[in-house]
Amino acid sequence: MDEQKVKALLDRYFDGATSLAEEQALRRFFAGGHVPAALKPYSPLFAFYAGEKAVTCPAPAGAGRALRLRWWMAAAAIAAAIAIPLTIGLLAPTQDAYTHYLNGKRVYDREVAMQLADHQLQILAASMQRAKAGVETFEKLHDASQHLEQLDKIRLMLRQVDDMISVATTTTTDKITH
Amino acid sequence: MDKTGFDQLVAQLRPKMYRFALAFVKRHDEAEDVAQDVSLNLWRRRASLSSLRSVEAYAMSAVKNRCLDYLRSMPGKTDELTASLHPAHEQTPLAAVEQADMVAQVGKLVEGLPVQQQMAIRLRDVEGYELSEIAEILSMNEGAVRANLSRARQKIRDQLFKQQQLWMNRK
Repeated sequence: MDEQKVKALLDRYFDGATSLAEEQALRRFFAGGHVPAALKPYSPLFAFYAGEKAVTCPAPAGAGRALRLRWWMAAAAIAAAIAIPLTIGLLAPTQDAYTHYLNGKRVYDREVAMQLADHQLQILAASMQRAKAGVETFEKLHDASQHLEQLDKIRLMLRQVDDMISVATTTTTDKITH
Repeated sequence: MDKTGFDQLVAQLRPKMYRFALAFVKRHDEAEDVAQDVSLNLWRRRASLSSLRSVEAYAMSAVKNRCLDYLRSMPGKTDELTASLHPAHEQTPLAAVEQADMVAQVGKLVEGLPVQQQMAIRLRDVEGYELSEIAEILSMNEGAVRANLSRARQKIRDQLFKQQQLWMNRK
């Protein structure tokens, strides 16, 4: 391509009037090693765009990456699922107000109960981690996200139940105290 | 759209989505997240993708929106959404400009453009989209795309030439 033709194309390029094919021709011209001195000032422009086009995309992170945050959401839902029965067991008035059981174990105070809950959470978290590693396709990812959305709804429901029980327990305890 | 077709579509789109997002969010992990989330959204509505005029334009439009949301969420970034071009040489010590690679300078000049112009120039000069596709992605008409593209290219050229002149004068 001769210099005059390149200049004419450049004029149209800066007016936004070139076609994709003409712009491709310009890129090829400036990528070649024979750019006349008068046109060299334009070279960095086309070199920059060529460089940007060459930016490579990392290998797909897989479902694990997209699932990471949602995994913690699921863990929170499971934590709530465990914590609510515990709360019910610890706070709900019973005939024997000082005796509670969790998975067949006698629990004397809230601290111990929460430690047990933490242990169960760790087991569940490990299970979720293994499940995450196995999820590779968008289809599985989509299914997983739907389940997690359901778990999140359950978590919200359980939180409401927890609040209701807390209020009921406080009222009952006040009555017993008085 | 079946899974094979979808995988092919994403394989073709992902590098473009990633590159475009990276230009604005500046972080590789954020750019990956944008590409991943948009891919996931495409999968969720795969049954209706055939009704779209251009799936690619739809995807890139989603990436654009995510980039705009990201920029809006960043403190101090809001002004850049409507800012005029600030020539890099006004902010950069002359000595540094002299030593800077001119190609890198073009990158700085592009980053100094208003976001709409940056998006237009990247979609055209990096990703190679037709004006009609850019119009769809950026939600503007073709005339506006052409005007943005022309203004952006001319600003970069003019500023680049000024810097080259400064550099020559200092030699």
